[in-house]
Amino acid sequence: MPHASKQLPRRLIAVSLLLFLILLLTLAWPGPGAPAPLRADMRRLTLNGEPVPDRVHLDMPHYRQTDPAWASYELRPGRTIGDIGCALTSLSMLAHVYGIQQNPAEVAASLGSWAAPLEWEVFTTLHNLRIVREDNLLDIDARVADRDWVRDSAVRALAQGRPVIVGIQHREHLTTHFIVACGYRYENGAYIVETYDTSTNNDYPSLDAIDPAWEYIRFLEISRGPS
Amino acid sequence: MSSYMRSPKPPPRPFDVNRLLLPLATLVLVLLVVLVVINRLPQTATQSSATLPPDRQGSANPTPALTSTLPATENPEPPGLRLETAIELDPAVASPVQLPEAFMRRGFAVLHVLPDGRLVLLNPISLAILDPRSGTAVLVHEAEFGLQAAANDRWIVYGEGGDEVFAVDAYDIASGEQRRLLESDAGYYGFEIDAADRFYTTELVTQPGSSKPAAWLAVTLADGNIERRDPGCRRVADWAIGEIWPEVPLSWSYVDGARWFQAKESLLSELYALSLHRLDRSTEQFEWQLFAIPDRSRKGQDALVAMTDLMTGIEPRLYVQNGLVAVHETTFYLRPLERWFRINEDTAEGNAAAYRVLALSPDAATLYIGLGDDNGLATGLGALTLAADEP
Repeated sequence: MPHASKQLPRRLIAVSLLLFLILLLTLAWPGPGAPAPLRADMRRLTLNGEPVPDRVHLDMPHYRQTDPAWASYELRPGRTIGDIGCALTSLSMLAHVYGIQQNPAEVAASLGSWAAPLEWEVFTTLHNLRIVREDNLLDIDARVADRDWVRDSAVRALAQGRPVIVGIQHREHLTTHFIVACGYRYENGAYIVETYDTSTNNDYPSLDAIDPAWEYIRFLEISRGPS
Repeated sequence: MSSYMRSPKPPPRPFDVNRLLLPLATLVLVLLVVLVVINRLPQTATQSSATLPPDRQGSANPTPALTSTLPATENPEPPGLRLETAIELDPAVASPVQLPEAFMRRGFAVLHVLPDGRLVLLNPISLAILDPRSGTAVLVHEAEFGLQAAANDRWIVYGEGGDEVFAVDAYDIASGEQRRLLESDAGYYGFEIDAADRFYTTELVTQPGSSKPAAWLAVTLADGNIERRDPGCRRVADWAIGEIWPEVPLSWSYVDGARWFQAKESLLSELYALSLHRLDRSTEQFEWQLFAIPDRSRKGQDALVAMTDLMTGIEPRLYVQNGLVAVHETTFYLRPLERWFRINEDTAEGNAAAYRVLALSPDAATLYIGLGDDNGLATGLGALTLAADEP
């Protein structure tokens, strides 16, 4: 009997522990439809409620302003694509996504006097494209001033197959420059927006590589117009 | 000593642990069942909300507003008093309005409804006044691209340019006369007009490589007199709400947890404020609430009168026209009728942006809606007759 009375409390403790374990597991089990557990990639972006793909790259050539094929094309007296044609060259690259196979000189020729300074809307009107999101540092609530907004907005645009043109300005020298966001990838818990830089001076391969001395001044998301 | 006198106690009965096992196990099992049930309840609510199309989410949790109305048996109040019980309008019964050719080629916006019921229409290549009853139109201006404009009952002010414009012209609606209002090599940015015939724009100055704001101009249209204001405030509605509540936070922010207000005002001086609280920028979720400011003699936050409950969902798109305030392309409040309405999108054939509310006629008898979408602009125009007994 003494042996049996010692065994009973042990059995009780064992059964209680087992039940307690079941209780803990039940509470920890999220069940269907419960919020996803916290993970390193919890900041993945969504678009219309769905996660965006992890990688997107839009098909376009990487043109340089200084390509001898068009660098000397004169946009206005004494100024050439090689000098001031970064926006135009960016637009030419972007146009390929929508099947408009024009190099920078051909884009300039089609725009005539609207090529410098470049009027984006003339080109979109000519080719049934639409500027669906535009942000300008001149706006009183310029969203483009926020680098995270630019990155996330570019990712969402690219996820829909829409390239983005980003304008930047050097804070000290006030020089402006334009590049194209042509793709992105999700890597190590962060989005890297890939860019084609028209210039070889810095040749920024991505938005996050752009030196903080430059601030964003323009954001143009361009889509195809209605058929 | 007395203890020795007592009869000896019977030996204590051995404690039978087995008797406790069954009730203890039963208790734990009951607890488990209760916990499992509790664990599932909120998830059910979350699931029902998550099944809503994302661009339609906008409900005070857990009610999925914008997509359902409460059954009449559970909600005896008249429909349309709250956003959640918005009155559904069938776009299929809208009468198509014949548009000038330029507005059929490119999407357009309704800038303003004139007191005589004519509509001022704008797209990047054309600016016109259309009589929706007869289909006749007066062409105000055409451009190759980038036409921008603002209109009130007496004036249409317009210019050409993708961003800044270098010349601003004024068109007198009654006489059809046009005259140059502003001209500058550096340009002007933004077009707004108020009911007191003042035109507002930002005057730019050039700097190497770009332009920057120099002043916010208020131009009296009758005589061209220019008042230069601090460019720190460059929106008419921001100015108006700032007069009522000087501390109102109006700065947009991309930081999770940030709170601010967005203000819009109609030409009837109907002033609205939308409170925005960014919950999660990765999923574009906001908490928001729409307020009206009916009494401008009241000052501070107390002047704001709630028009909706506190809602959650994607960022609302605040749109204001005379007698109308919309929080979504298809969900809006008509002030003369004091009711919320929603355009039924079930017939949109999968295109969620197929319809958008555009304007209300001055007599509140006709609602103009956009039929078709060109990246945020309407491609067709429909007129919905609001029943005399509606709501």
